[in-house]
Amino acid sequence: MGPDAATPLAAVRLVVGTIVGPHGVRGEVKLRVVTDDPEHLGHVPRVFIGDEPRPRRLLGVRFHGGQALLRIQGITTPEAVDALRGRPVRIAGSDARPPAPGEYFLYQLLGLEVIDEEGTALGRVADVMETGAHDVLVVAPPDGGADILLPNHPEVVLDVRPDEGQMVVRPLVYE
Amino acid sequence: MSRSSKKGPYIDQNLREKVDALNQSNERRVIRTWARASTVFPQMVGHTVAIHNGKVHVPIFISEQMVGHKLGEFAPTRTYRGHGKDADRRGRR
Repeated sequence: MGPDAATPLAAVRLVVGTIVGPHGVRGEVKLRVVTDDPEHLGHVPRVFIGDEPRPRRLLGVRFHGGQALLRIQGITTPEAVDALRGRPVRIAGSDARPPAPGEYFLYQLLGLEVIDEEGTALGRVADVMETGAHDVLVVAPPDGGADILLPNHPEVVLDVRPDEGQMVVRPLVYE
Repeated sequence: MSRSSKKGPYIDQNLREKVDALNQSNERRVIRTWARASTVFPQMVGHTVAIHNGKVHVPIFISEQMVGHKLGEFAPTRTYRGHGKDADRRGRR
């Protein structure tokens, strides 16, 4: 399910990758990265593995073959890594790179109610499609009709209000 | 083999006519197209083109950096749905 759009960043844990196996014989953790900003992992002090309530210290990060290799407190053997295979690695929202102005985390966009400038409800953000340019928001109308696709561009998305659970857009006019 | 430079870039004629018509009338309407092989030309900048990805038309706002690329580059035909809602990913504008 994931956190609600109105959840403050400090209260969420964001998935940065999934453990795919050990690397070497010293218990390095090979991570398939999903974060937008893998380089930022070098500045993250602690990580949460799977649903563990307590964080573990992140002792080191390096990159190899498109994957991140993590040294994590308490994991010193390949067998220990094997036992964690498939688990997500999360970071505290407060440790993530702060979003730039106009930038929002996926969890803040998904589920928002989409309204136009007059306040008419168009639906809810059901998905965010990655394209070769900007993202495209997939809006599911309330009546269950065909999805509405909107470019996540300032010309179309006029205002994003995760606290109020709303997003104001200028609907596209097709020729 | 690359396209002969003598011919110039491939531009879909229907698309070109629609963009020219919108530019002349100074309108901003979304153009639906299936011409994924067409090159993005400078007159398209500032328009939104809905490019078919094999299933739906994906609306893409054309910016200056896209000029010279093919339209199909901006509407992937395969979608990866592996990231959860709580992934450390941001909406790209």
